Amino acid sequence: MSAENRDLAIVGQRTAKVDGELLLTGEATYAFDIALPRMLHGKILRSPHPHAWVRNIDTSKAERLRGVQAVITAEDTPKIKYHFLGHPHEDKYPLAIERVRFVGDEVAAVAAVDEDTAEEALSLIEVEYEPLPAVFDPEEAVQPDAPLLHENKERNIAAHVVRSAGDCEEALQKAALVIEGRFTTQPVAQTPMETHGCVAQCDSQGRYKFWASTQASDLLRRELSNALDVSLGNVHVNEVFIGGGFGGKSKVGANEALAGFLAKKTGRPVRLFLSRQEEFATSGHRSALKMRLWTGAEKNGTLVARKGESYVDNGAYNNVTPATTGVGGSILTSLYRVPNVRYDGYVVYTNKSWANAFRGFGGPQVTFAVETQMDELAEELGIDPVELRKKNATQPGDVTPVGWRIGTCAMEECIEKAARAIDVGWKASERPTNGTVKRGRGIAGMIYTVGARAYWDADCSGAFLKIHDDGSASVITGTVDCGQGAKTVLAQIAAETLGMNLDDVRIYTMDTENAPMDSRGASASSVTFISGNAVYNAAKQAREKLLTVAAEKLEAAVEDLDIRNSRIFVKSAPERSMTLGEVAEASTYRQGSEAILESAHYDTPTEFIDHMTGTGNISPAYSFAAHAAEVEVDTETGRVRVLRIAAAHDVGRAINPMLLEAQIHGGLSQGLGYGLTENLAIEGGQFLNGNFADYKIFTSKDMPEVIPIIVETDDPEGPYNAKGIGEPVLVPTAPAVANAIFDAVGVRVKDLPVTPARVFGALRASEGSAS
Amino acid sequence: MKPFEVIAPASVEEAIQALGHYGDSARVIAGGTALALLMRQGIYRPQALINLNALSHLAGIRKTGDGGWSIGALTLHRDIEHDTQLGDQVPALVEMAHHVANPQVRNMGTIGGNLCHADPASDPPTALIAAGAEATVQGSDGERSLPVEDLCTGYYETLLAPDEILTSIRLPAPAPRSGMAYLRYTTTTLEDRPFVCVGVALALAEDGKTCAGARVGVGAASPAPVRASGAEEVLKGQEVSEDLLRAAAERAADGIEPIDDVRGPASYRLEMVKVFFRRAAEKALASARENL
Repeated sequence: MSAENRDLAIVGQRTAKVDGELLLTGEATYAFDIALPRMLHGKILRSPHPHAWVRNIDTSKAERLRGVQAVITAEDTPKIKYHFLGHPHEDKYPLAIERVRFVGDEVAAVAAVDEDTAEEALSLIEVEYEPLPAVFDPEEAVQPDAPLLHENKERNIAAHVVRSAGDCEEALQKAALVIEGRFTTQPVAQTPMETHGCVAQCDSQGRYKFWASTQASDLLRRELSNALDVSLGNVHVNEVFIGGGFGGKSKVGANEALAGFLAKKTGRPVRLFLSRQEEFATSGHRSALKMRLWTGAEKNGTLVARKGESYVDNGAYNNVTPATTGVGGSILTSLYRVPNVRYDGYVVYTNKSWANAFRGFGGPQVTFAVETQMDELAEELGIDPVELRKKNATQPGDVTPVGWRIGTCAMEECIEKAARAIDVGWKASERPTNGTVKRGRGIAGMIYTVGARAYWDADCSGAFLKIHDDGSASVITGTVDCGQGAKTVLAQIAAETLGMNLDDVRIYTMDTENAPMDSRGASASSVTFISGNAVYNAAKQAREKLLTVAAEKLEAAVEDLDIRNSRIFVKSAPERSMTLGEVAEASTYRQGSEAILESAHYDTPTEFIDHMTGTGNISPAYSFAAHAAEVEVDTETGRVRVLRIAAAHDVGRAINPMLLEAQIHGGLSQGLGYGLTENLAIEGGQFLNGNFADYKIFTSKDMPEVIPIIVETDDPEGPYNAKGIGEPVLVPTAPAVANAIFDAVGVRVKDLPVTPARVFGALRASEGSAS
Repeated sequence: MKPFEVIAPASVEEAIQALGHYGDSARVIAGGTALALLMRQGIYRPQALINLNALSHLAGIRKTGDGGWSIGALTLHRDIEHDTQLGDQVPALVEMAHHVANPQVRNMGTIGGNLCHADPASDPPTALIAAGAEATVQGSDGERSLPVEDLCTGYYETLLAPDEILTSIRLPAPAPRSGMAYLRYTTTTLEDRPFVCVGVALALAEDGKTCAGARVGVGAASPAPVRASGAEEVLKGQEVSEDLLRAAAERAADGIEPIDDVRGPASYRLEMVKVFFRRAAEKALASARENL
């Protein structure tokens, strides 16, 4: 849509969540709350071995246990691999066949009258394993003598992602300065409050119903139709409230298909939720990278080349890591203006739980490395780190090396505003000298997409809109509100467009049987943009019909009418007016009556990605941001305390500044955990800290002062000129903190998380080399 | 979770009898904040739980005739945290209690349960060692008492016999001209369990300069909290100075077999014991000087 030149009544307002009362009172029904008559409880038997042949499975004792209704192994399933990324990436069956490849691999499943019985039944299943040599490190896994996880994948390489433009080698050779470094990033978990899980039902006509904790009901339906071997129309995913996803629920998890098999076998509803331990250990985490990076620049700081090479820990199976690695490569080559780029990302199988999508989708890992080197470059060249970034900042009209055509872009302004908010680049004389505790400030920028035409040649969503007789509206979309506030933002867009009171708009989501097609659910920071445009279009059509009916009744021309507060009035004589309820009645209750039932479909005007080169203008707009952090470092312990973070985000236009700031707070807490405290510790394939006592996410006690800065660039394609926010808020956080640590104490830790022990070690090493 | 029996004894003797009957397949339960977690994770599957909560005489903080304190085993962390009289005399202990886990746990968990659970990464044992606390335990052979540093012996292990129950903790009156400090250090988030923790009680001689004696507890660094007698020896009888505290710090980690885990490596733990010993000793010294 184009920019609207009129006062906005609802868009841009800090309205409370439209479902706030339901969430606060606990009335909101999550998948976790669904209880159906005769419902059974499912549990999954998982491999205790990182790599083994499965020689025999004896389920007879478990089947004889009182209360057990079904025990299934791969033999009871259609044996179809998950196919989300398509050929040649499909490699995993819902239940393992002949071989298990990580601790937690699904071997069998049971359904019983209660959870305790199901749990006991698991202990009665006898599995004969023959352990195989296992490999846990992606760099070791590509060695010729490493055990192979999948026979058809040479050197355990699941995918080799390449991004290339210009002549990177030559540019690096000619560069006045090249910064070279090695970085490692760790696996981290999404930690939604609600674990993965669902209730599944299969009726005697072979139709399945699911109530699932998912971010993407349409994708879940597709994958389930494949795995269950039934037509798309026989799988119905219902609407429920979602207790967080952060990317982890943007694709099918094993629980849904297994619940489906069990429901079919028993003819009864089956509830199957992962325990917290299972959520940590088997539902997919952010991929860990081992990475080398080279940045080349001229003496004046102009970037000339960037080259990266990563060994990405895929885990035992492909989930979305070939895709996250691609996004990482595109971000690595598109962050700041760099003409000559090369990225090689090797996605490598290891005998560990598979990596999954997580807010930022491959971006945080490479952004950490790139932004660390931007700071090193500034240091080496004696240029202010803020000026260096502004000098190389992406600008409107740029085309990045992977073909991203940049429209609205306030990267330079974001860098400037974030830096100014906490005075990054302060002088040595301004710094407090407080004994052993030193202070520092640092900054990092980021680029991100809004949606991505990358899985298939579509990036779309739709909306059905019905005007009721009382003048209220219901809007049905296929997208998902996983807690981020999508329903509120979509309601604001509909209400603004219709001139309706916000309370008169009701948003429905997710229902695959009743909602229009939606190609991605809540992912790629695009619900506001893509579903928002669909809702806007449907509302615009309804608005025109309402005005036409009212024009006849009010004996005025459509152009002379306006709608505000659910009332249509003649602009020149506002006392001549009708409520929307009166207009709806007038439309419906007459000879030749007409109901106002609108539908709209919105597909982004983008190019389908070239899967070989990764090129294409895959996103309808691009988001930019910069985070500036102030930290304190205790030089005796290496412990870092984050004092303040200024987060400046080019969001196009804020539909709801309050929800946007909430996204900033949440993303920062996850970004800070990524930078400083979170790490899924896996030893010999076993998870050591699959619980919140030992896996430490940032809490309210640890959060710094947050300074949100909303930068508006009025994107011409976005609904009410909005872009996106969900993922950008996490992406530049860890490098901003790492750069602030360097500013404070002069050491750089290039391994995430930046633990006290690592800072302490680096401080000791620098003392050693100094003396 | 498999079904289990819950037994509610009317006396400590009955509880001891029940323990004798069930042996390892039963545990006493008070607040249950630790035990319930082990059961939910299937790590411990009891036949019976012996619920002590009816034995109300085991709860509460009382001043004893010798100027010390008796803290009943069923006393909640919260009650220690909010005891103003105890807070006046041993502020470091009350402050420590304020940082145990979180408010929910402090409102349910008991000091006796905490000690008997013997989790290596826990606050109370280390602070109690510095305070010179003794545990009173009762079993079929009668009552005995032992220093807290002897009670915890390893990962979730104590010296308690299978049918013994911890009934109270005896706290001596603080020595004249003394001060105590307890510091916990977390390597991840602030509410994390301690990576290392150090308690130091330090008394000055009448001259106000010489260290009359010190008690040092070091916890979370090794499978069981220990008394750092090496550091205590360095301090005792010497004139207190920055150098002396540094010299003592070098001995604070003596004999500790450090844990290596997700919170940090073993060698770093030893370094942090020294740093936090020195900081705690400085704080204890400042407080002792206020009591001159």
